[in-house]
Amino acid sequence: MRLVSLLCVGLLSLQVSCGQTNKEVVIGFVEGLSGPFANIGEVALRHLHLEVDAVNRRGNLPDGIRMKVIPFDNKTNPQEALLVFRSALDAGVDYVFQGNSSSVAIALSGAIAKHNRRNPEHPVLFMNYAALDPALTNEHCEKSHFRFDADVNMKMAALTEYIAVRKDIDSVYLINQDYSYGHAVSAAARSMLEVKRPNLRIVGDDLHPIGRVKDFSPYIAKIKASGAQAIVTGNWGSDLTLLIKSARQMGVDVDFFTFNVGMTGGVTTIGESGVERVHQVTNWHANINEATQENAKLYRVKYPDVFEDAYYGSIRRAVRMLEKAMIESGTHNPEVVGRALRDMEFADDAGLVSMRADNHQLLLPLFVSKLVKIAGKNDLVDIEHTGLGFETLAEIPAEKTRMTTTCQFE
Amino acid sequence: MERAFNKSRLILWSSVALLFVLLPFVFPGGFALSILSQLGIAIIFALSYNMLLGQTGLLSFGHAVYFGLGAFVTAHAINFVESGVFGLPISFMPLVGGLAGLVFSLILGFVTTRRPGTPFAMISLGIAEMVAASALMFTTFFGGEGGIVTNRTAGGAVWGISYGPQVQVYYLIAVWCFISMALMFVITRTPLGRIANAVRDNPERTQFVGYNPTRVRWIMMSLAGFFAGIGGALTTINYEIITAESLGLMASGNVVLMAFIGGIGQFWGPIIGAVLVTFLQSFLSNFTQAWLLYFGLLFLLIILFSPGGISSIITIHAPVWRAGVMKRLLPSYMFALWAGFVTLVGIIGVIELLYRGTLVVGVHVAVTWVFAGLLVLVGAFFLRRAIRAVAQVWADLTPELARWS
Amino acid sequence: MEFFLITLLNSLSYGLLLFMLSSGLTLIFSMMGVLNFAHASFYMLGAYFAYQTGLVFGFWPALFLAPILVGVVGAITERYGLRKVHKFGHVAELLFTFGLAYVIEEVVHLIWGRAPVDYRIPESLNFTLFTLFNTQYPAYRAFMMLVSVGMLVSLYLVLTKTRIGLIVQASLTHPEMVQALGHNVPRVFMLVFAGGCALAGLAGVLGGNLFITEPGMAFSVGSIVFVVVVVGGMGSLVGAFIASLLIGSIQTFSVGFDYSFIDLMAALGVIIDSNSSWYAGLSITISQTAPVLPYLLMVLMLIVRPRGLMGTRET
Repeated sequence: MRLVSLLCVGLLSLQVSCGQTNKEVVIGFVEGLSGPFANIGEVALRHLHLEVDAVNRRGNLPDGIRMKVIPFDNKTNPQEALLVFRSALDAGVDYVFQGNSSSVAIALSGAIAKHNRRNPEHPVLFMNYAALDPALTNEHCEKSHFRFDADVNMKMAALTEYIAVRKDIDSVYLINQDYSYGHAVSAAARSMLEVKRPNLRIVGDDLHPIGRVKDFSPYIAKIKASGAQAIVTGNWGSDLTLLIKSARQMGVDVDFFTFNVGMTGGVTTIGESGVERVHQVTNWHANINEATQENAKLYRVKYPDVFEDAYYGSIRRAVRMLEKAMIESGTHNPEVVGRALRDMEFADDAGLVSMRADNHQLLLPLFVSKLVKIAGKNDLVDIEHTGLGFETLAEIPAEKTRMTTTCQFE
Repeated sequence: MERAFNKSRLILWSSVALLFVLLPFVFPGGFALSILSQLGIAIIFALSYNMLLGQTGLLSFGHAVYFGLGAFVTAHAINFVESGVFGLPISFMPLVGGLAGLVFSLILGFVTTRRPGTPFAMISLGIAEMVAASALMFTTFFGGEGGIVTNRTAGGAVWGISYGPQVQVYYLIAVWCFISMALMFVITRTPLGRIANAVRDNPERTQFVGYNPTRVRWIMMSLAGFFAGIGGALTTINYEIITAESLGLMASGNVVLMAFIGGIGQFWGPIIGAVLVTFLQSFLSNFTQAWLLYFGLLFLLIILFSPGGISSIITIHAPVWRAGVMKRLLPSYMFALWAGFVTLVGIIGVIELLYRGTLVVGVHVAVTWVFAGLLVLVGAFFLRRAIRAVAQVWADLTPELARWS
Repeated sequence: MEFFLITLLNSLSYGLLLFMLSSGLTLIFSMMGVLNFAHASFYMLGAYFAYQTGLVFGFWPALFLAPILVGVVGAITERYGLRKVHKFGHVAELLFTFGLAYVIEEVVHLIWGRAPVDYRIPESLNFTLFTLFNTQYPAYRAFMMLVSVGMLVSLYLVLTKTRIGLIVQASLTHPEMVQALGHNVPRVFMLVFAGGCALAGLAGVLGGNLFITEPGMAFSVGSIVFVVVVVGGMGSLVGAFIASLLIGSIQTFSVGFDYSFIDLMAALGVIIDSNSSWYAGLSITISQTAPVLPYLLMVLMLIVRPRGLMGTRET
């Protein structure tokens, strides 16, 4: 099937983009599948396949149509993303899924909006499952963009609530990736900590090039020298695992407050030295309740031999809400489906979520969790066969995560 | 003799222009237009690179710097137009890019063109890395990781052309490509172009004749930067985004591939290279993950066996054509083609098997492996004999061709 | 103080790794006049071979096997590739190695995929060697330094004290004479090329598990190696050593310094207003310029003194 559509794309003398037969809705997975973040992209693709296969099995979409996933490698680069978006258009894409790297997301969101304006007969929606720069639902908001994970400000608000009650910490080091997302994390941490814990000292604020630093020991040495008791970082992918690896090797004994440590490889890298020390704020983790544990198990059943465990609750949410929107509106036309998505409420495994109509940001409960040994705690599952898992410390209900917005859809 | 020469050249250039105009009608559709636009930009870039390499003998690993800087300056210019700082129709934006490329190559070229050969190659590499590394430092100009985004419809429609639809962008690129090609061709015919060739072949002798090789190299470098900047501006208009990747080593390496595969000995060589590399890059990447491997192998084969590139393979046959003895070559060529095809299919089979695990549904993997392996061995065996046959035919033919070359 | 010492040790281990890489390149360059663009690709092959053989045999046999394998690949490249291109000149040789770098990276994609592979530090070396003030220093880094120094010493001994080393040194300056005396100079060239590649492979074995083993590692380290060779001087091993340590220190230390021009001016008593239009440019800190510094050094060196610090030839 894929070969046929590829051949269609390839043959130059084609008049119109084929591949979109009436029986299919095409989901373009435009993500970094090579380069330093390739493994993260592969994990996300597996999550997407799992959910799309489930939708197709349920077979509830209108007119008996099926969802189809076509991956496109954007090399985690905004320019490349726009190039492959062109190919995706030629393959008849209706919905674009992307999340790794906010700079790609911003470029893609703008390009999709431009495309929709110039080609209203072929609308495309952007389903953002992980790019957290607040700008995407504020100054760069677009009607075709929907975000299914909490943005940086929402997550940092939740995290700083927890840090504020930790009276044993009075100095914090910020280290982030040097692009719009990392800048947002750093700024949010600073402003929110200042309000919630004015006597907390921020002893360092580093920005490093994304995906390029292979040896974090100079940064760890700096952190050591500053005497910080906790590290707050929005790093993801290899940038986070290498940071943790260096910290562990150099025996730096601090608390970690992260957004993404449960992502593939993080727990294995930190190992037992991270127990009770490593925290994350996420929209999903396996041990929230029985439903989430069930979903974690489903992932393992489908992919018994891969390294990572289930992580992207946002992808499942996005696909299920898309399915619901299609069923409700009776069509798979992106424009109509988009209207159904706004204001939609959905009962997810971790709780009730709802899509804001004013900026297309999902309101969802957030969970601050910490790494623990699961031995002796019968209601927890572990990650990556390490015997370690996450335990919820605090839940922030969905409505409390609402932030003000400057978004104005034209 | 002079007039006939001019007339055939006029016909050639007119047909090229006609081809540019008619292509979108022969190949309509979004995909085709995207590729044609990319081809136009690649041709400008590759030809500008050949001004340095083929004509002046300067091997540069950092030519994409001028392409990229031209692109960034154009992006900012378009954004200025959008916010009303000044007005300039998008159609003239490539000039802005060209001027930016010219200015930067004037500045950087001044210090780098003193020595040719390997030191120049290393300096160009260093400068390319320097500029790419400083992209994160100067975020107002380079836009950081997100790059600079523009809107190619800025400033409204001029004479009914808004550049919203891709076909309008294609024609913009086609016009500028034609102009640039013509200008670059004219430059090769000027005294400057000839002296640049002299500097390439024998700088010491050129110095004795009275020309300053450094000065000549500097001028050629600046002109090459000008045209590269035009290409960069067109790429900004085409994609409406520009990031620091465009100035990096990958982009510079790409243009070296294009120029070499096409052949640096002829003016039109890099055009072939640009078309082949860009087209296959977009086309092949839909079918196989191994397309860059095929390219690298093609590049290696050309360096090993025909360093003059595809254009030299073509020009070698010119005397044969003139002598009218092409059909003497045919049998051995057909043999070689057949053997080469078999070997190629076998090699592709092996590579694709490695990438995908299985190739043909319903047949056991081991069988396809054995089949592919056999194809390679059989093909290689016959290929060796075919090459010997071809060499023999050429050896017999060469004395006869002496009066035709 | 602690920061300074730890960073010094880190920059030493990184610099020595760079030296292992660049020594091979310098050797090949001095001998054959070929600037091997694919040198960093052999580094990457060393890491991947070590990973693969390590899965079967364990780390310690892989430490010896992988560089030998890389050396064999290097020998084949020289015999069937470089030697053919040699007659077309230095530029053609440079371009051949350039194309080779692409091909090697793609072959790695083909065999091991595009994502990083889990090549780990062996358990036997995964402990803390000592604790300096409060920071632990991993034993593996010390092991890396030990191997680098040991390799340098043995290279020096081989080149100056053994017969084959003398032949190699003689072929450096008088290849025709050496051939006339009956030695197989092409074979010597092949051995030197293979040896240089094996050195790069050894660097890969050691560096691959400290830094990540992924297909992009050749690209990221390749340009730095050229900087080292150019700054140190084409053709000088001692120069490469000094330059490796210099570049290693620059890259490691500069991360730690958050001082900018503004701070310098402030220390001198001149306060620059944050509203001034130059603020953005002048507030760039040293740590932000860290990636640019090595290349800046290389370009300056090429303009001012193309021979490099201790080079013996220019091109």
